[in-house]
Amino acid sequence: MLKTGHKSKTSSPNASMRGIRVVLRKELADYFNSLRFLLLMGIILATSVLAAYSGIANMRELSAGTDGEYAFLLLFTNAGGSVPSVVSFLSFLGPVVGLVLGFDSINGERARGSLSRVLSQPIYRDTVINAKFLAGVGVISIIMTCLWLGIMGMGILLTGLVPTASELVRMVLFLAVTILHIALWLAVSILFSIVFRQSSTSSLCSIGVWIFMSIFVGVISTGAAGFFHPVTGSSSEAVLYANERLAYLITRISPSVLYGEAVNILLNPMIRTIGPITSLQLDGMVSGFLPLRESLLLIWPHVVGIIAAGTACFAAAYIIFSRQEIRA
Amino acid sequence: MSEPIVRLQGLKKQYGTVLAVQDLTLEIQEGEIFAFLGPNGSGKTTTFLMMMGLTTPSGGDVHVCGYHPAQNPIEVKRVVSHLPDNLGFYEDLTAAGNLRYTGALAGVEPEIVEHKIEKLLRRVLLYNDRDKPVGQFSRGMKQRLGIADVLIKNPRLVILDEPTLGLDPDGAKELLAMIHELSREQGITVLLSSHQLEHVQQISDRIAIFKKGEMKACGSIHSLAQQMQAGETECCSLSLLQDGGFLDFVRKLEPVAEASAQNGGYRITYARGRWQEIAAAMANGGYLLTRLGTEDGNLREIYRHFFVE
Repeated sequence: MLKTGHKSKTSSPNASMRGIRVVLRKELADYFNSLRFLLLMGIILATSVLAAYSGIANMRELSAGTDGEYAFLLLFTNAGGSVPSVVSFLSFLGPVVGLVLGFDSINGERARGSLSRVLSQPIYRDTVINAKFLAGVGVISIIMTCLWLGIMGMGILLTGLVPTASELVRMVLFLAVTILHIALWLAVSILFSIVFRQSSTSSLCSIGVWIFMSIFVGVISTGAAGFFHPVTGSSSEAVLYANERLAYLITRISPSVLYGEAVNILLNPMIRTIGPITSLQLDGMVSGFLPLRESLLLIWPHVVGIIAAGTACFAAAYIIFSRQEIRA
Repeated sequence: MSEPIVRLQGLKKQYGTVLAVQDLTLEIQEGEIFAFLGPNGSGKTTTFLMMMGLTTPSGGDVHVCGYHPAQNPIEVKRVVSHLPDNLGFYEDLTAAGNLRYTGALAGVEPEIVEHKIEKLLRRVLLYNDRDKPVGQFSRGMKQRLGIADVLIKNPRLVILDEPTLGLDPDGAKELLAMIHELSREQGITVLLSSHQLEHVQQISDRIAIFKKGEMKACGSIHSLAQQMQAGETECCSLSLLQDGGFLDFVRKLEPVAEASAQNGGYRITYARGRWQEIAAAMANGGYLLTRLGTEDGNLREIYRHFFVE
């Protein structure tokens, strides 16, 4: 039982649902009317469509080796020329969408003073945070689905390829994982907006975490791996392996890395393993596509990791918010 | 007498080492207009938040409309409206939009909410501005919108935190008259706070005076004045025909405790019941009175008595 002690037996059960519906509608309306939403949508759509478009250029050569099977998926994973692929764009920019949507969700209302007025109405306190999170996830889903459909449509028009059923399933799963990943960052930014009273502080902290997770985690992991398992010219295979393994382990604290690996495996059935493997393990391997079930098995830990991190952030935000003093 | 609508018993709130509210015991009857008077930081807002269940008391007991706000916040919020001192409207929503949101949160049926919004906006003289974003409103308009906002859910008790804050004297007077009328028309209990006594004096049935988290006195203006009579000084204000060196002169008189120039006249505080001695001395000194006013029972005195120590 929380200190503020809501959820009484006597109050009607639909008070909570009604509150969520009302706040959700208001939050969604706010998002759609905001310049922030238009800007985000514009940036994400423009970069991703550009990435997909330039990826199409050398698709023919790439898909030649596989008789054009799963060629449609190259739309997302293929980097054409100097432009990175859609997937790498999304693993880098996706978090920004979540952060920008959520960084002032609670402290902005607190600063305007509207929080205490809203909480003076007969709704539960957690209604506000639940509805805000749901609204954010809704907006993320809308942006990502638009983008996903846009890229597919462009792919169909420009290449003449039509996705097969198994390609479609993989792309739907890709969309789902993308939304989950961005929702995790939304939870992070909502948590910061509760912990910090100033929206400038919370936005800077969110951006700090994002930069750390997307850039510095790689640097740190190689550094730490080199420190614990130094590799020299004469190092044994075991040391090399340990070094690589440790580096991988460390980068995986970053949800963006998890996301990148997960969607790459989903969209590229040729990938059959992640992390270092020895040449012994490669011996006698038959090259071919991994069935969907096997691909899912590979990325399951990643997906669980993303969901767990998101849930942990949201739970922390929920608990802190429920116990926080309303007045600043 | 019927069950009081608000009952506080030994209420306490502590923030770290600071006692924001200490040992507050108070009963408010249905239909009353009750004012909390005190400087900023004297515990008025904290008490309101505890009554709304937005802050948990550190000790003591709160009953509002028969419910415990800490255990039954939803039930309390259904029948009690609260207007925070910073109002907190959504600036990009229109006046009607803000009321609509409050109404929806409060669970007012959609069929009647539009009708109510129209009625309330007309009542607070904002009907012609209903489609303007609140960001364009003046302070006074926002305060009036606040009155409409708290009434949208048919409350039994309305809590207004500093409703006259930042208003010019005319605006404040108008707003208070509006609060008074609405309370009397609909039989709503009103609990308001202010640090300006002239404001609360106009409409309040009873006043509680707060200082540093403690309630120093409570009662009607009349009874507060009587409580103050127990003091040892009284004062008067006066004007003179010709006043050269008057302050120095009057300060030397034995019963006079304090004297100051004020509004072209003078204000002196002296030992209770010794006015005649002063008047005689002034006549001897050649100071002729053109005007004499006593301030007995005036709220200014009450305020000085309780706050300026």
